[in-house]
Amino acid sequence: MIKRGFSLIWSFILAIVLGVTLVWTLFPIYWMISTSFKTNMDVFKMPLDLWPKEFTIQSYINLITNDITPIGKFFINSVITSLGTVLIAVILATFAGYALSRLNFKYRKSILMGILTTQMFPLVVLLIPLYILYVKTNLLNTYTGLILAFTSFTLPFGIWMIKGFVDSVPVEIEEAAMVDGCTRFQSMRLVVFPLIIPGVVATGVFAFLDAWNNLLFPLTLINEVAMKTLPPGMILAFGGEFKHDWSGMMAASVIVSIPVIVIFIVIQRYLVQGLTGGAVKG
Amino acid sequence: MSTKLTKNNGREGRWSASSKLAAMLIAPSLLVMGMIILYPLIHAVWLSFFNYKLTRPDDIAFTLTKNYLRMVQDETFWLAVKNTLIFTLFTVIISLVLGMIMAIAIDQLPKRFSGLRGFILVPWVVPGIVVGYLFMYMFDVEVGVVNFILQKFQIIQEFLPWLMNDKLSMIAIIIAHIWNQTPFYMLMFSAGLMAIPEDVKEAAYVEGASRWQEFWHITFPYLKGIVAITSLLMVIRNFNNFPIIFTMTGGGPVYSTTTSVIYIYRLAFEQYEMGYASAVGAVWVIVLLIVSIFYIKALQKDF
Amino acid sequence: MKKNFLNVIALLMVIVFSLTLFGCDQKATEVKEEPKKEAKKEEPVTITWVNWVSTEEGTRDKIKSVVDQFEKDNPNIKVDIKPVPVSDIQNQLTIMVTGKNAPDISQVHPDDVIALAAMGALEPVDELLSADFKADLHQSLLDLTTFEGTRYGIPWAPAGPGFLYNKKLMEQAGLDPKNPPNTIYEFTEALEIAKKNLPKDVIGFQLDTTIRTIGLQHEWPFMRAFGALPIDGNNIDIDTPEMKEYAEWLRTVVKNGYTLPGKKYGEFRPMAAQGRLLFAFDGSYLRGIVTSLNTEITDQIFNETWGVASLPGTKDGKHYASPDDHFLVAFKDSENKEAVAKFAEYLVNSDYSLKNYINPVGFVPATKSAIQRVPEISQDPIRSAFIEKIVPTVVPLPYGPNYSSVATAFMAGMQEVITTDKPIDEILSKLQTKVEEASK
Repeated sequence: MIKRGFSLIWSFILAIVLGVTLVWTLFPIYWMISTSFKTNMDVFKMPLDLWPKEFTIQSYINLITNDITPIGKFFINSVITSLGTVLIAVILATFAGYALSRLNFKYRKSILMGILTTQMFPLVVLLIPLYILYVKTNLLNTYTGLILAFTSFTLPFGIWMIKGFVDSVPVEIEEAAMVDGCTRFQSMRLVVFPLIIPGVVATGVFAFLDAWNNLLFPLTLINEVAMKTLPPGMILAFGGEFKHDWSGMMAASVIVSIPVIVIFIVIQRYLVQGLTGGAVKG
Repeated sequence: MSTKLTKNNGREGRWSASSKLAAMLIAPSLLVMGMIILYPLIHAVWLSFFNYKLTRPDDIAFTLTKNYLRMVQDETFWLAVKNTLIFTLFTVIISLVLGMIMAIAIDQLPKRFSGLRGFILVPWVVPGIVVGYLFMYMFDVEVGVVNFILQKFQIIQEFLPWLMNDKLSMIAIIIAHIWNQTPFYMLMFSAGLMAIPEDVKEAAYVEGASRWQEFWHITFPYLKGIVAITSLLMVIRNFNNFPIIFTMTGGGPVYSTTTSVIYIYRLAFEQYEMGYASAVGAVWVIVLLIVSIFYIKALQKDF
Repeated sequence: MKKNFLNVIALLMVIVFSLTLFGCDQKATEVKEEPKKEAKKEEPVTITWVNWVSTEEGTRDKIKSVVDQFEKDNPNIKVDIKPVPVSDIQNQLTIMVTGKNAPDISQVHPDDVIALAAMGALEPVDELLSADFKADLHQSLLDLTTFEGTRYGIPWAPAGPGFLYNKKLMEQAGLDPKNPPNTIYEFTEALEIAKKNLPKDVIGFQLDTTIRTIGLQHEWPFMRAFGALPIDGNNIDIDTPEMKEYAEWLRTVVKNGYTLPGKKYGEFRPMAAQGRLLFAFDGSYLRGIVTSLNTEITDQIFNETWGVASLPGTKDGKHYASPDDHFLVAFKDSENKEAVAKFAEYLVNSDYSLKNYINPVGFVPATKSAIQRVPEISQDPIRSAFIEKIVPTVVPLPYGPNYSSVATAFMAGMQEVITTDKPIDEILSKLQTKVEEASK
């Protein structure tokens, strides 16, 4: 195999590009972490210290011990609603994605396109009617309400992703299974499902990210403090008259970001595969 | 694609059976989406025909066109449209270029460095509200590290009120979004680059093509489809982008970073103009539907 | 394909509507159950209280202790606190009322009282409160929230911003701490001198330039000091020479770095706590907040550092202050109005609340009898100065059912002054039409 070699200039350019990329990408994150370990007095001191002079975890302690904005509770709420969303979204998306890929029925195409377009709707428009609906159906301030809302907005992507994966499973395998006496449902469960696991995982991860990061739904649909998830909890803690608590704000940011970053790094491989295998090929 | 199997199943006898199964499998999804998305959307369109201000529940009236006519003359509405276009255009184009440069640079690296990609992707998963607060902090007029660094390198003399100046604030939110979104482009382009067969690149090299020619005649054509789809997807996403702007500037100062979505929120939740906010929302849904049609066309053409 | 798509929508609509019907059914059955609960009087009732004092560092622990004590004294009433940041209070309450999900009682600003009353969401105080308690309240405060002839707000903690000056910083700047600026012109001059002589990180003065009703309330006395009266009832008069002078002043003080643009006024408090705010325009409770933010500052140190004066006035020495009194409102849909009235009275006038909340935080009490019962209140130099120098200069703001639209439109214009280079004349004449529209 003949490959292009690395000239000195090219290597130099590459090194600069990568160096700038890394600084650009990681500096804000570094700054967030470093600030979270500063005292609030340090934050206000000019010139700024790149690393805290006086390393302290006081901001974290304050966050955890503050019972007016109980971040521990917010965290648990976020975990419950996000995992709930993952569970429901994965099941629903797998069913729907399979059906839309494999079965022939009326309106198949319209439904597919309809699902895709719902992804484009601005969520803000729906908030007031949704609030009124939730009051009527007693879904306000409930996990179920949040999970339903999160699920509906992550489903379109999930359904398309799963459909893409099922498309890539050769039909012949399934036909063989059915000749062997499997029902449609069995073949879906025993033959297709194991082959599309990367897609399912990717769907699940996206569902988790969507739910974990969502601000608008819980901001409007939850007004009970004990039921808030992390994003509106952060608004509650830092959106008032006291926006000055930078160190606390950054500590909360670290807490909110860590789970998604960890999950992301662990499952990164699947995610890349999922995106390239499923979503892009649509 | 699934055409093969669906054709096989097209025979009369199995048709209804598979329809029934399909209905069973799809119904739960549609039910959830119908309840959370479609019903409120229809309700919102309905509200858009009313003169409906939350603070005046005694003064609700059906008007049909009043809200829509008001929009035509509403300077702020047009400013929000302009802001959305500027914000989206710059965010998408700059992220796209940066993402492509990053993807190509990383693609050139030996395999053992590919773990780097994981790091570079991190900003993409950081929650929007965190991005918003983080950049609000970094652009703060008093303690912001951006001012500090710019002053250190003597680019500026005095600290700039980034988030309190009608021009700078737009730059600040665009930078925050670029930081957040570039990794996504990089990911998509990396996937695209991996799909280019080695022998094509090899042939180009053997025939004496320069790097630039190789990029322009080989790499880019392969990526074209991804560029189109990713950009359209991100145009749609940015047309709807909320949390970062909301936490960073709240749409301010005045209306200088108010995009259409933020404007709808401000109308609805600062001024309680439910009818008018719904009308702006309805128009915005139509705009998005039109962009979506392009997106769907691109999807169908390229894949 | 188009037709198919419509069919799908139709199908979904059927599903959706059947869903909402189901929802209504549920609601209907529940309504039947409720009277049963009411029947048992013994059962403890829970009242929900929306407030913002529970979100703020300086007040949250103190208010919690008052609520705990109230629950101890009234074992059959439980208070469920729903903290909402101060800027979101009207927004959240409006949504809750619209969704028929209002709390029982809430802390609000006076303008919120009018807005909520106009929505028909509130219970008139005259039916709610006992005659003794009503008579004990300062009548001027009680009358502040009259809407269409009915009073809706319960005055809780009068807290309009006064003028507090840091004597130590004044001295350091070469200003006379015994002689704080009396007119707006002297004030500006003092800022200029201070900017030259004080370290860079000292902020000249506290000014709220956000687009909020609170922003208008904070800037109002400064506008009045220039002789401007931009909104007076239904009369909107923004495009005037006085307003132009004010707007030019506003642009200058921001450009010269005398204050930080776009900050909420609460954001200046940590600077006060760090000893780098020269002039504060804040409530009498500033001390409570500063001492809780910086534990090295005791009440005594604060009293020695800060002096109180009337807000900088007009050329001929007329002073203005704006009201920012904390009010309580009871909601019409509340099922426990008796408990609400009891709780409101407890917050405003119980010895425990006066001793553990109103006094230590630094509020002025809303009832006449409070000073006799809790004499500490009158011994405090800061508060006495507020009662003497600020309270008499309070002028009402142009409250009305459209106040929040008017105020936000107006403050957007003021923010335009400081964040753009557009000519002031142009901004003001455009603003005149915008605010007129908002007031309709």
